[in-house]
Amino acid sequence: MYFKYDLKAGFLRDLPKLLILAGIVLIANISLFRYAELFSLDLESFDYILYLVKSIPPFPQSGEEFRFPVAWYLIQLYLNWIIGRYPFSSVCDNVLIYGGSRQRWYLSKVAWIAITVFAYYLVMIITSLLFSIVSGVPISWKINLLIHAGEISSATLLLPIVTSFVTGVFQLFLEILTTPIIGFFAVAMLSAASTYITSPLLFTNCSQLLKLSAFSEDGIGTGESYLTLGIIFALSLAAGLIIFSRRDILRSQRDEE
Amino acid sequence: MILELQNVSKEIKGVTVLDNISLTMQGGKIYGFQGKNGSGKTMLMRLICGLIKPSSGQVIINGEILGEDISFPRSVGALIENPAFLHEYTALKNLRLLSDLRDHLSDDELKAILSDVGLDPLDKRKYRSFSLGMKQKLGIAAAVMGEPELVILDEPINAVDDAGVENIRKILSKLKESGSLIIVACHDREELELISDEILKIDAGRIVS
Repeated sequence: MYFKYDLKAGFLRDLPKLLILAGIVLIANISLFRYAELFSLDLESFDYILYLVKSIPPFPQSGEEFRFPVAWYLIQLYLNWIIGRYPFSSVCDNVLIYGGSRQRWYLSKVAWIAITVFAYYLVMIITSLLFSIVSGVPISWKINLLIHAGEISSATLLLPIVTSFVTGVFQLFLEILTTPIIGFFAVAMLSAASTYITSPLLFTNCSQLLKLSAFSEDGIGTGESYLTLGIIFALSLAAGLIIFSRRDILRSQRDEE
Repeated sequence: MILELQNVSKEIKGVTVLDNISLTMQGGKIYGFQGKNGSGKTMLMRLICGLIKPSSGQVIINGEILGEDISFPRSVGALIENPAFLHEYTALKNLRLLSDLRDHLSDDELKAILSDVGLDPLDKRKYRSFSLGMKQKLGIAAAVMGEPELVILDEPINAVDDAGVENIRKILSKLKESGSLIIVACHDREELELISDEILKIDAGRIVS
């Protein structure tokens, strides 16, 4: 029952915020379009989608100058901001006691994160496809932008979405353990650090395609990524459930909005 | 409905806010809690709702231990401190959203509750534009909707006009007749005497009379 509440009070109310995401994606698409024109690259629609999650290759192993992946970081940061706002604001006396279970309240927030992340990436894909149609970029699932050896599995291509979901669950745990603002900044710092250091322990690496072994020699394997994400998800979920079950709710949060 | 508090104490950051409280309360009665600000009334209400956990002792509701057998009382409505609603929703929409969590009341039932507390069920204004009194009335409507077995109201007549106070008295009387256990905290001794079957005085986290 909490989930229906979360869909209405959280997800549907947050939908207009995804327009800002569409704006960020559009700016990134225009920037790639101009780059492709400048260097006469033949890019297709899927390249525009992957560009948003490609980030940069492992550093400093690549031997290249460090260039902060602004598009990838902004997209992740905005998602973290959306995820950081709603759950804490729904720690309301009425909502909690009418739903009847702290565990179900928590699990419903995890489901809300899954739906939010899915919608977030859907908006990214739809915006890029619309941009491709309008700007005359051929629509196809071919990858031209990123160098890769052989076929890329769908498990690899799904890693950015899965990583964002697990990061959201980790952020929810931090939020319950500390405060929403600390949870947000911790995840923002984790994402920033993972652009520079390539390690599965900084698991936001798994949402950066160029940090994966499918696209970079020194990258993280797909199996290794899923194993790390599975462990982080299980630990965050279990710890979050335990902490929230024992936590004192000393006041409703929504009146602070 | 039988509600038992057995040697309940609560410490927060080293400060004892509830001190060894033992009480038994039963359905069909209104219990009034009186005490100064900071006496522990609100903490006691939060504890009975399951929102905070006792440091020692137990809260038992109809034989089930709160926090062990159940997270929250099975049938409870509460208004504690500031009511929390979605600011961009109307009164009816806010009630419907809450009702969908448990009771699934029909729109007609929800409209009747809003009328009972003195709010216009067809009012299109959003919660954010409500006066303090209207917010309080909506909080009471949310607490009593579905006629819960346990009703907990912290300072229910704050900011409510005379007609509204009369409406609240009628609602509580009706709930009492239907067998609900009602707990009301109020600083106004006269109002408590008017509506309560028993008055309990709290001071420094203890029941003193």
